[in-house]
Amino acid sequence: MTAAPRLAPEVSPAPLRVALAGNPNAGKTTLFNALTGARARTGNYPGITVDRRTGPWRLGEGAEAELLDVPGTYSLSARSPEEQVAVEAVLPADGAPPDVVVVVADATALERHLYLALQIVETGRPTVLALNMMDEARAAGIAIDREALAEAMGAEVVPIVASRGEGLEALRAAVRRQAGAPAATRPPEPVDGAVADDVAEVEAVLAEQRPDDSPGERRARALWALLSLGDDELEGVPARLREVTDAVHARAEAAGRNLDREIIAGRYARIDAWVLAAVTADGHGRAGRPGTERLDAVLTHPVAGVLVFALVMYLLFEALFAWSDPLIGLIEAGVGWAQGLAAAVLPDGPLEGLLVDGVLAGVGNVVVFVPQIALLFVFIAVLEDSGYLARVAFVIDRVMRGVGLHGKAFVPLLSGFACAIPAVMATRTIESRKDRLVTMLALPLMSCSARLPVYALVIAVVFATDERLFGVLSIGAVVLFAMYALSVVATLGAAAVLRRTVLKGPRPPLVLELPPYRMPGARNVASAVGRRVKSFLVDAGTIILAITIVLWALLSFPRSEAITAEHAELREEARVELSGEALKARLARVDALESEAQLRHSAAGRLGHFIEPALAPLGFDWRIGVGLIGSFAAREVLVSTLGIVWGIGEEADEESVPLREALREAERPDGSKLFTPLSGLALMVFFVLAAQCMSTLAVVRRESGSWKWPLLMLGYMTVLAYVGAWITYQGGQLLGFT
Amino acid sequence: MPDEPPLPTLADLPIGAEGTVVDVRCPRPVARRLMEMGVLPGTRVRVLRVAPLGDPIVLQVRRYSLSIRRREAADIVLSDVREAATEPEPGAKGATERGLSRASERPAS
Repeated sequence: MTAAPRLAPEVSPAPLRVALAGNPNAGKTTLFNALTGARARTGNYPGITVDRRTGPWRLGEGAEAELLDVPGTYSLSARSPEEQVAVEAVLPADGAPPDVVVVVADATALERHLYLALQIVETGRPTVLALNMMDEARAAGIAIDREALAEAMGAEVVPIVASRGEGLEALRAAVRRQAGAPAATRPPEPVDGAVADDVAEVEAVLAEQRPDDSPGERRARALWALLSLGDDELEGVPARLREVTDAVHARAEAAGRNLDREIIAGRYARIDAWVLAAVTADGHGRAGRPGTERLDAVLTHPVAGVLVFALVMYLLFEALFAWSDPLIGLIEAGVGWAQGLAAAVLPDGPLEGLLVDGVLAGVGNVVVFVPQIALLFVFIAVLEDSGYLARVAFVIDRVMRGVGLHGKAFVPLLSGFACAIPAVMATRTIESRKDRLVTMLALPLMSCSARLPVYALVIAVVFATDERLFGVLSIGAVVLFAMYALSVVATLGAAAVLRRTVLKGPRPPLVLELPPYRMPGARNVASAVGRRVKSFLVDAGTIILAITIVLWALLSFPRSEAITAEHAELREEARVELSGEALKARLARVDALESEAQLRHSAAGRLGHFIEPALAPLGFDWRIGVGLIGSFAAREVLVSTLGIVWGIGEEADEESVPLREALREAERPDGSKLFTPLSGLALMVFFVLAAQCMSTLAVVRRESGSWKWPLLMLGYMTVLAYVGAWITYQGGQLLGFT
Repeated sequence: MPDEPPLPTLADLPIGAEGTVVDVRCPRPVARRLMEMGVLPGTRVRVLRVAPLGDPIVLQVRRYSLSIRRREAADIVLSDVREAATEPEPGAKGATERGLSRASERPAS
């Protein structure tokens, strides 16, 4: 660019900073999407896996705002860094607080939603309460006196229906008014009786530490400290603040008082007063929601509910396995076409290899996950927005509790049967960080679809297809079933162990809102799916691409010129001696032999030899070792890597008869067969348990926020795989099997 | 149980029964979370339904539905327990009878 655009002479004022807060299920995301449209941007908070979404919001009359989507929360008290994000958004430890806070509340369950609104009002920030779902509230016989509520709260109150875009103009006007109002130094919200002294003591410490806070901010911060500190995982809290909070709590406890209860009850007493002043509900409002009641009578019914549950989960499974398949095939074909084109255009050599087998293969390795990620998140978004996801957790919680997990861990674990990548991303629906980590570290043990080609090949090689167990059961089917059973047992066992060791903690309670059933909005679903796919491509995709290139280099270099020259000679000889089909076949054979020789010579080939002593007790030799290295790109790559090692060519798939034959014939140096039923079983057990998938590691890195967790996962799964295969092979030999 | 607590807990209630919260005796993080979500002493709660496998349960509290496990429910002490106005659930009697005698509210119609 040569000429920089000139700045407009009248510089527009900096946009207002508006925070959008609300309980989960208040319709906050719908409102955010309606206000910012497609212009929203998604980023991360460093170190934690909470999306940071912002977007420009035109307020009208020339005013612009930057709208920040505060993560959905029931309260501004926080025990974890994730929960603290919402607190920081309205009550930042450093930097300026937002100019205006908009709180979205579900008008049909106003009391509970007002608890968060009250906490926002306590901060003294200009506040606008967006009363969402007013249509449902009216239908339920709930009438809200807007002015009375605004008067009582000291905030603007605007009725809206976010899903239909109603009331947004009034919301803009209210935000403009609040932003334009003089910075009111409103007195802090009152606290009752005995608590007042306790709060004052914490405020005194805060006054020393943060002399510039307004009285409202100080009051809000003191209440936050009293409710949050003590058993939290927060970092960066001043020691003096912790001390005074602990002391105040200890004193209250000694006097037989419960400060938490007094503060929370005091808040609800104020909310009850607001509701009394502004809300009238006729009798049938109390009865709840007839539609949701009727649906729940079926969907959580002991028989019908379980059937529907099984059906929905089956559909999810079907989507991940069957519906994604044509799309994956299309992507693979497209990448193959691009590779073919690049190979045809570029001269033979390292550059061609880098582009074809490194970069293009890497892009393929990334994009190939998109169909399953997109489909899973369409499912999750629809289930979540409709309210059924909470029922899934509710129905299955009893089962998950047994291994120390939450009902919400079920969908990610089930998705692990298809692919760990979308499954790990799906753990975001789990609120507690520890629960989420346990789930994401255990679920790669679920037998994903990429392991299937490995099982298929090994079973075909080591077991005869007509072999029967007890006369009826096909031995292949029994072995396959056993591998899946092993994967489920290993997953649940790993979760239980992780929960009792590295991620120890009190068993997480289930405190789960069952929101009313609602029709999911297409826009919300599309936006959620788009965000997840983009986040995968950008954050995990780059790691996957990089590792693919490294693996390609390991398998390709160093190259031996001698081998190249030797095979060039063989080709020349063939061209002299043969012609037509025979020549073609001979040339293909020479290509395969050259690949094999080069692989043997490569870093991966040498590494295979190097690790052979470690693999021998499992019944593997260096050639399988090379396959294991190659399969780090993706488990099914084992098949094509074995194809190269045995000189069949890399196009060999698990159905390839020559590859099966070659593996059956393969011998150890002592002349015994390499692939026996026992070494085959050991290899399959290894694949069930090993973290043979760089993409999983990359996505766990992305979702856990640090390299620590994927490395832990790689470590424990590798040990588990080694021990599992060792027990299988050595134990089998002891029992006299071969 | 040899020595039963003097007051019924939420875990004792059959479907449809309701009571007034007297105390939330869960560990602090859970108690705080429950109270912040509106389950406070003085709040009226009703058992709406039970999961197919018997646990967790669903409460109606402050106009919304909240699901918790029986283990937590057993730490929520109630008074003024009142059985369901209609369709009493089989297999869920006993514990609530004491509470019933204490019930001061008349069934609303």
